Amino acid sequence: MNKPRAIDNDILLGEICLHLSQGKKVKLRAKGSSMWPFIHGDEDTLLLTPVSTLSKGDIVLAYIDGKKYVVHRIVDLNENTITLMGDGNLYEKETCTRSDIYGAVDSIIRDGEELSLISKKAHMQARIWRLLLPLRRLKAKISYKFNHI
Amino acid sequence: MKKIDGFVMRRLGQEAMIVAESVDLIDFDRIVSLNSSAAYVWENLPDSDFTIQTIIYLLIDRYDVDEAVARKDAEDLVKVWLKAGIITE
Repeated sequence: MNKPRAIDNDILLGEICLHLSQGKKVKLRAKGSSMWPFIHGDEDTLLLTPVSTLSKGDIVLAYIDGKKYVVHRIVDLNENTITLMGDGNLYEKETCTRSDIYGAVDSIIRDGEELSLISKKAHMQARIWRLLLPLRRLKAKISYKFNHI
Repeated sequence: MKKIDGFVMRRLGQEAMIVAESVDLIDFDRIVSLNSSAAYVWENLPDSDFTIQTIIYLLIDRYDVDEAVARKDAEDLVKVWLKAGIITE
């Protein structure tokens, strides 16, 4: 028998958004490093729930510009626009509207243990991590210079 | 053998896969991908008990292959599905 092909991630995420909009919760393996250190790609399982209210600090699944899906944190929001940024990213941000957001990551499963990402402690850690952004940018700049001169 | 309750086949574009589903949760974390013949077999297997012979008949019926070929494919399929935990002996 021929081997099954790997399922395209965008197709899978499209299906997941559909289920979330129908009110179902979804489990999904995290990909990439853009939410490091709070989410470890290829290691953590995300527990996605349909969105109700959105707040700064929430981690959400969004479809950006009709092109790509991201699971990133809300760093700013107003009436019309929501700004997202991956915790592991230094500069890159995305903007979208409320209707582009399909689910929220309330918790992850790591090594068989469920860890909340919406607890007071988790939000505090995320805030501290974000306050360190200028230092993280500086560190990246320095290490770039060391490696390229 | 029997399909384990809660595992449902879904088609995404051209791909087919088995996912665990309950009333309010769908688990896309442990997906079992199916090729076209495996998807056909899964769809046509009964929810009640089946044997390896059931799969062999399905393959011969659809693909007009020799019984020996069908048996080998059926055995491979069962091995993969048992390991994936979507069927039980």
